[in-house]
Amino acid sequence: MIKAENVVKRFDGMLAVDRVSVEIKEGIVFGMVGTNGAGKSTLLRMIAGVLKADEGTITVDGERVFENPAAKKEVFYISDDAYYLNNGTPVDMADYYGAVYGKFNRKRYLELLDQLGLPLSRKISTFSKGMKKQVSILLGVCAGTKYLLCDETFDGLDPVMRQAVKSIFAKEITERGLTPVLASHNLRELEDICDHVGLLHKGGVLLSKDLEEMRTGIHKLQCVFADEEQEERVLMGLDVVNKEQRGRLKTLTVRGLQEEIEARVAAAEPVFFEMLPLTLEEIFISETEVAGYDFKKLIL
Amino acid sequence: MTSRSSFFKLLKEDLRQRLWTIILAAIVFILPVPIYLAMEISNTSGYRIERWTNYISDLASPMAADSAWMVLITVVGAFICAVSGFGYLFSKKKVDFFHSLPVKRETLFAVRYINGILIYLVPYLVMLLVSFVILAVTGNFESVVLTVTGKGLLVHLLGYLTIYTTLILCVAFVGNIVVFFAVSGWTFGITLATMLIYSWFEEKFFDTFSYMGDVYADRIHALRFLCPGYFYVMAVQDPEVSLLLQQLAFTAVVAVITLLVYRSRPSDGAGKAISFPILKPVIRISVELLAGALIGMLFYEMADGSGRFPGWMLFGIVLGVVLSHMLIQSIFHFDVRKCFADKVSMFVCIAVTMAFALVMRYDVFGYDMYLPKAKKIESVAIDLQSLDNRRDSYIYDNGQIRWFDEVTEMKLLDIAAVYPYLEVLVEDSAIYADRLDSAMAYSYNEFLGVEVAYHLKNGKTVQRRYRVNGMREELFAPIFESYEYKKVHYGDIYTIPSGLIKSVSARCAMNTCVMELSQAEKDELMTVLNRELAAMTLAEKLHTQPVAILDLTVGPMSRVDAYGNSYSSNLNVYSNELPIYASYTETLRFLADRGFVTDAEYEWTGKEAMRVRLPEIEYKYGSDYYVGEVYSAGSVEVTEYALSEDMKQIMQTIAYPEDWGYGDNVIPVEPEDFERLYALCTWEPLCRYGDPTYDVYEDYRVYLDIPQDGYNMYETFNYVVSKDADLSFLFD
Repeated sequence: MIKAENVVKRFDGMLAVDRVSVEIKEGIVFGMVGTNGAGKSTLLRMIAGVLKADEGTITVDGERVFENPAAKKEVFYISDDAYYLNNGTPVDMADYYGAVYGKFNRKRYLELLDQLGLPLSRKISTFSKGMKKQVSILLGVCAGTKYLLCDETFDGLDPVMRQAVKSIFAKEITERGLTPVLASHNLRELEDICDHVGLLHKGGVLLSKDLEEMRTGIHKLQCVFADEEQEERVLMGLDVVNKEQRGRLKTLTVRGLQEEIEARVAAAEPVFFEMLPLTLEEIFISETEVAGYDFKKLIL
Repeated sequence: MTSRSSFFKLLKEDLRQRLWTIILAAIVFILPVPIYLAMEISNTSGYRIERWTNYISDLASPMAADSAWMVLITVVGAFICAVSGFGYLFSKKKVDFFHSLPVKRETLFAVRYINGILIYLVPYLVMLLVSFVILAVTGNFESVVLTVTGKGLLVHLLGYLTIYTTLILCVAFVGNIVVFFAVSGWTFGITLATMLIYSWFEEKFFDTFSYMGDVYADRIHALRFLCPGYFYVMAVQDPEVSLLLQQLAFTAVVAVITLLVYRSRPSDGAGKAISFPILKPVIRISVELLAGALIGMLFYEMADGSGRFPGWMLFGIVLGVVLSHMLIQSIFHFDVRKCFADKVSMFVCIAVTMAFALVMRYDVFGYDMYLPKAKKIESVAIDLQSLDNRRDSYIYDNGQIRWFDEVTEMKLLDIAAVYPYLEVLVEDSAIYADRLDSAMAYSYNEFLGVEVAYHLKNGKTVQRRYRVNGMREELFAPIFESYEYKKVHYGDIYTIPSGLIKSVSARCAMNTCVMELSQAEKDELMTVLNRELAAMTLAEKLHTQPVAILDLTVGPMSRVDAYGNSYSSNLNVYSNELPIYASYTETLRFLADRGFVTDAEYEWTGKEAMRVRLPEIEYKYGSDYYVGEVYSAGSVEVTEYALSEDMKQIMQTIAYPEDWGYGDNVIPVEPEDFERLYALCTWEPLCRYGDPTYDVYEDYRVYLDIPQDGYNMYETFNYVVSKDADLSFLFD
């Protein structure tokens, strides 16, 4: 488990990370979202042992990570602007990482390169942005670490490749309990990958929740009521977070268990009703509103 | 922990990343020197040139300690390897890459540091190996090659380590390549620049500032641990073991500091001007102070501010500080709009520099009037610079003749005898300085320069250069006549072993005698000479003319000149002339016994002839009148005239040989003018050998030519005629 406790980081007196405490459990895909400057990259760089926290502690499996190769051996960091060795090819990169990550799986790396159609011996500097990202991800996946920190790594990947990466992650999670930590400013990039999401804002963690938990606790309901009386009767028993109306069609965001909501609405016999899945963005809107923030100003 | 195999894997991978530096090193090391060697051997053998004495060591010279090529490779190589190895610290993405690896920073440092050394060392060793093979195959490999190249390897490798390690420290200090070059310049040059600018102020504003001897070298030597390049420069010139050991220790300390700085360097330092904010004011303020002082002094010099309020200097200080402040702040912030950031500090720098400049200008702390109390002085050294100014200061030491600074070597312990003279020096210097300020300095030639070193009981040595009004004979005599003074002033005579004397020559106006002596004769001569030299009085030296000039030729031996250059060729011999006075009776008897005839005993042949050479400088320097065209130069001709017997008497009273070279301004002397010219000579005290006020450039020189029997050649003896003599009759 990666654990950050009251972590503070300043750059030239400017607060970049402000008393962040977060736990990243093993075997999940952790999404870290936030606007530019929210402190995502700084937090990841601290977890990777690149930066030293001014205050607080960061541990990986119980060990402090900064200048601790034993802890860092379990963490692979893919920077938002990754460096590739001068004139380096994918094979050169594997050689280099192979020298420092004892569990680097060169065979699998070469297989995955082949599967994704990436040339082995071409200079990475000639690759497209997406191809470079793929190489980085493959290197990270094959390094054999427990944690893979990806900073804006999915930015630039096409949907097909995102799906491919997702399946690679899934396999790694299943086979050896890999824990990818994905930082992005774009919520939509994460919603189909992450299990758990942390929201960073102005250097602090606004919330950190399990996505499934959030999804099971909040729902979107579209319905048409016969009259206002019926509507009032239905809504009275529901924890409505948000309500929108287009003509007679009402869209409600409601907290609670899906079965209970369905039962209550059906019992009122509205003209029409339908339960719809919430997007991650919608979940966040409702969650942050509860916390007193206007999510649309925080992200998107 | 990084395992050993992992460490070597990292070494290998890092080398792969620095392939271009390896190729470059291989080219500059392995190609030029072996090719040069092969070519040189081919040239010399092809034309059957006879091998000279140092042929083999000359062949090995490109690999020697003082090889300019090796110095160039070493310095440039250190820059390239430091940047190629640690330049990643300038890039955020590279820092993220390397610092996220599960490798301790010490390991990363070690890998890159070691590779930087290997990139230099391995091609160096290959070059030596290839060169040895070439020398061996061509039959030119001798043990001297190993000595020369071994010393070279030691000096250059150590020099490389020093510069390379210091440059890595500079890399760790900064986060940008341009700033790296600036900070490197600061690191290597700030101490030297500070010393030079401070010395410039001293030299300019302190009349008694002494720049004789090795004042700059001594200062920079004292500050050597703040001046990383010093050791290498010194080692290249003269690889002294103690200095090499100090260099090794210095480099080791710098390496440890560099590692600590590297470890504690924040990763976010990449891209910033300076990684450690605490360094910013240190660099900025030091540069501002120096720039202010430098520009201030430049303005002072340009505006010729002597004797006036130094307004231009103060303006220069403001300009220097402000401009440097603007430049540095713009660089530190990467933003020209921040050029006036921290104005308070800028104003403080201006104030401090101005205060320093004014303190120096007006000698607030009494530098020029410095005279330590007698009880605080351990010993004193005095060098009246114009005394015996035709003799070089050499001493025999450790098997070689070495130039030396009398002020450094002399130790006069009788302070009571010396002190009155020192007091007069301080007083006279104040008078001289007053005259300087009144812009009348050039007309006071009677002031003589005296270099003094006070060796104090607290271990400190203070050096001054005074101006004394004339000889102050009564005060200087006891000093000159002391053995402590003479054994240094005539250091070569007192130290050269008689066994090393090759030949002895004695000459006067009319005679030169070269003699070969047995060892017993050499011993006798040196014993007598030392005794009579010690007994010579100042009065005799100043007021009588030498009877002869004695020249002891010594050698062959190695010689180290005033610049520290060593000449070890077998062909080198040493000679230094010594005037012999009438009181040297035993010496003169010794010489007479071996055929030397003094002028007094010279028998006139009637073949003597004369010509006059005019001074080439026709403007009288520092004065208003012009002597030019009336005495314009004639063609170089020599006309023979018979000299009458009575002229011999005149000659003997006037003349003392002045062995100056020929110029072009020679005129023939007509017979009717001849006696008149001689008459002029007799009116002036022409021989002033040893007289400190004598300036030959303002006198005419008269050459006496004596034709050699059977040859169309002349033996020439030289005399002088006073500058005040009216020689216009020669041109009528």
